Amino acid sequence: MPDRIADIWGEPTPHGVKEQWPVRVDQYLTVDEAEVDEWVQSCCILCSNGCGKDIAVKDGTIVGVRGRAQDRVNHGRLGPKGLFGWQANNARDRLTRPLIRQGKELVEADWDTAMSLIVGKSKELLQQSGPLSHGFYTTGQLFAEEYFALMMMARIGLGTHHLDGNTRLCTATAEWALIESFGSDGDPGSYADIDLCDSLMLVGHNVAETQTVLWMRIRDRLEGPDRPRLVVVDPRPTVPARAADVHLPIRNGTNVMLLNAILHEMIRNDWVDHEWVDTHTVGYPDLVDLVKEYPPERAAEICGVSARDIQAAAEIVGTGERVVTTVLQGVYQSNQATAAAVQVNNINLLRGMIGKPGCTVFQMNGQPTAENTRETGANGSLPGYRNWQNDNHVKELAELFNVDDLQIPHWAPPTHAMQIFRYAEEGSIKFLWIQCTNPAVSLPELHRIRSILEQDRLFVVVQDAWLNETAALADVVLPAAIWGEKTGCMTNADRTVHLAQKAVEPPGEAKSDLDIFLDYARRMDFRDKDGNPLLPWSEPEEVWNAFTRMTKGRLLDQSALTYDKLRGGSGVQWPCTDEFPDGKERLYTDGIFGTDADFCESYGHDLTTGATNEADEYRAHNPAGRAFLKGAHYVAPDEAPSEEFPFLLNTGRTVYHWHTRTKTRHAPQLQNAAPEVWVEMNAEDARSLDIQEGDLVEVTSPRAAIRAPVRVTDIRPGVVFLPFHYGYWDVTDNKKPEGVGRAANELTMTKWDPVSKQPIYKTGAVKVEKVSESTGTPAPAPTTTASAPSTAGVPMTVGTNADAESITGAAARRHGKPPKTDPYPSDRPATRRKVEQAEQKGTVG
Amino acid sequence: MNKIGLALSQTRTAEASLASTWLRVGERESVDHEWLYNARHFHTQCLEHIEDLAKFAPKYGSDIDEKEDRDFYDGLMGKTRHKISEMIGRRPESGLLLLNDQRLVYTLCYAVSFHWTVLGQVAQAMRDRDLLTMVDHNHKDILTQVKWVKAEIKVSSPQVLCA
Repeated sequence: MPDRIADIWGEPTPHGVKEQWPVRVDQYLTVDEAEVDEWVQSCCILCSNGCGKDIAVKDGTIVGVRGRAQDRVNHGRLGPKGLFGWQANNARDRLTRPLIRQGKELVEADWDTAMSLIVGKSKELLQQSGPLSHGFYTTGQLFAEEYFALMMMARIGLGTHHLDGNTRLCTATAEWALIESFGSDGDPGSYADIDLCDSLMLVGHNVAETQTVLWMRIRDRLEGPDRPRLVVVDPRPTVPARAADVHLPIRNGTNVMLLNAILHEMIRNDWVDHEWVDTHTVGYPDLVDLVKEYPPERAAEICGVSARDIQAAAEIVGTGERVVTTVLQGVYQSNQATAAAVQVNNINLLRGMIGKPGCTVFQMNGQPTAENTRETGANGSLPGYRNWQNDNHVKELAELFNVDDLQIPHWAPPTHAMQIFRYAEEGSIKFLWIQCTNPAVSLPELHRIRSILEQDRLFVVVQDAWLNETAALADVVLPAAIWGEKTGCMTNADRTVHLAQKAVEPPGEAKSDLDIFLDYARRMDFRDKDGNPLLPWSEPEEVWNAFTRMTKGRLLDQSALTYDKLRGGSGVQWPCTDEFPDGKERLYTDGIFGTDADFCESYGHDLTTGATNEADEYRAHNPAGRAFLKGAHYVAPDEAPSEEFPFLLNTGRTVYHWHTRTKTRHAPQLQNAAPEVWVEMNAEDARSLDIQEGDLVEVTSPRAAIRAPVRVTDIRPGVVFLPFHYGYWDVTDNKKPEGVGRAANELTMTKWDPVSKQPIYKTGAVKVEKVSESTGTPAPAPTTTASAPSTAGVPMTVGTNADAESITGAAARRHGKPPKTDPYPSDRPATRRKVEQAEQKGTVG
Repeated sequence: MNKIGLALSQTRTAEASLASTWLRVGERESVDHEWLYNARHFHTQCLEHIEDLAKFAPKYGSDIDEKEDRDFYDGLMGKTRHKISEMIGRRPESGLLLLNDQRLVYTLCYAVSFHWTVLGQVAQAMRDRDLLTMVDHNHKDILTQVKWVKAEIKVSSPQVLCA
């Protein structure tokens, strides 16, 4: 039986390009299977992949989970967070009653008292300063129905423009890169394209940790016959990087430079499908002009990799017959995010490799329901991928919602998260309602964020399942039900919609987020223009049907997708219409994109400054269904390493944790695998500072300092990496200790991408100083992932729970071949061999 | 100096004035990060335009010193403006000042655009392809600045005046 902490991805099931991805059912139960009362169909909510799974219930409590064999996304598999994370539902420290502030204390109250406080404050502020005094900061982990209701109450009911999700931190660049190139949001491909491709390029996408099941799918191709060629761009020695044919460990912040050079090589070698490009795109001559200035030699110097490797990478994506490219936070949270993500779109566009089997670009998501905030209008666009600059789109919404079109804020783009906090900082937002997210740990430059939330003049409502760092600063805390305790839909990056059903009752008086929003809307008495309630619903299914009606005729049309259709089998992809009642696997199969002036979600932006294009100029050059080949020159990051701050800071995730660990902290297997913060640095850098594995160091940026023990790894020299999961709620009662803290975002800077407005977490300069020597204990970092030690003698990360025995991989053994002893190609560069040898030594030691 | 030289020189004066305004506005609005970074970017862009103009000046009998009147980020006045921005950054009135700064750069951008339009016509009449290429490129930058400021005005004005 695999220990799924030590063996994160489980038993491989390699297959060739002409074969289906085999089924392997993963399961974790804390009781005997015979004792389970009921299995309830759901979907995993602990990463963005969207794996179908069933929840096991006994005596009204969740006792385990099982992957759904028939689901198109995971074919039965689950990752470690999916297997173990549900234990958070049963945690004893859940919020079970509303809390209200009395002086310095939060005290328990009943729902009526708490809601009356909120509604009283809302009405008072509406009278005094109007709707723009209200801000809403939501999440990427509620359900579509909840976002849609939130959008209706905030934008249409109250009339504020200030509603955004923490999806701004994870997925805003995916959304805007798709819009800038294809005219509309919506990922074109299917996860099945992984099974079919012959070339794969992962840009800033540590898929083995961020989407474990997708990595299982990729690994099964890499270990099978017809192995696709793999390019990985990442400054860290990630598991995919170690399996790559070409690994480009570039300096963080230089993505545009690298990608322009790859496009340069593709054009120079004429790896371009000219006929397709002429018919289906605009902007080719300008792109040719732009990338002329980016020969691989220039990029090699700026990015810190060899020109030969850049050429080798270009050759793989330039000559493959079925090319899949993927993009995630190494691009989205870095310098020139949207410009870089768009350059990856350009790779597939130049090859004409979109909308065909085995050919696509994936602008991935960071969170399980990020896609739903985008679809419902709970973040950067109007509902249903509509364009705020297009009066006809606004009129459509006004008719659907039966309101005057002036009741729909559309004088500017919806306000982005960082701007919402800026308005709260200057005092024009006086009411901030935060749901299911923890900005006091997850936003950049934490001392600033804390000082904003601490203001007396700001009324803060926090809706959460735990009393976290943010909730501790609130005026009212509302206890929310979580996944497994409520019903709703969620959509992943290949447009697969799943229904996650209620399996158990929430603890105490906790309520679903939807019920909380509907209660507020009722108390505020929001009405349409005929005097009927604006949010007339009481059940999630009614909200879902209202949402899908709103999508009719748009790219994301889900008008034929019902709860019934989502029950019993696999998740279903959108579009799901009368024409495609079972969903459509790929978008743009006819090469016609969403760029027509009447249809497009936005008229686009200048990728360097973010300047917004106007309707008239867009109409004058109407691309009418052709995709854009947009480009941008490389601009160096604002905060470069200096003599005082010589290292580049990179922040990110580890496989075992989710966000600020409010859930994964409660699963002992996950918590024990990565219990404390650490900082990764290269062996050479460590030696130059006389630092060894486990030594405590202080990492200082121009903004603050944190302390963490060092894990010496094969990360790119000059770069240090900090996981962002570790705040203060489980160590110092939600408060940052006096002096130096441990949260990565103490160090990060307040700056965002000009187009997507996604904060930049992955560039910034720091210095590292030794505080004390280790007593022989290594850093508490996992050895199984990108944080693998480069020194011998570090004990391997293993599971601690004996009932790992009950995790089955029976199906795998039926279908699978035994894993190869050496999964990596023999011609891998020397640096990578060194990593593996060190790891093997680590295993022995 | 002939008349074309004069037009080059006047474009330079307008760009210098815009450059210096971007610098000051960036410092005054330094707590608004959207402005802080973009103002820096646009400031640098204007200085590059002045360098371009200086290259063409001798040909048309003008003499442009691209270093003249140049402001720098780290001047004492700059630091003072930065500090004042931090001091008033938490007061609602800071929004009114932002609106005022938006008006300032918006009108100056249009003034600069006027001069590039003039130079563009001159370049065509003189059949000077190099001048025309330079003018087109730089005028496009200024029009992007206009677009950027306009979008910012749309975003901030309701918040400043209605909230």
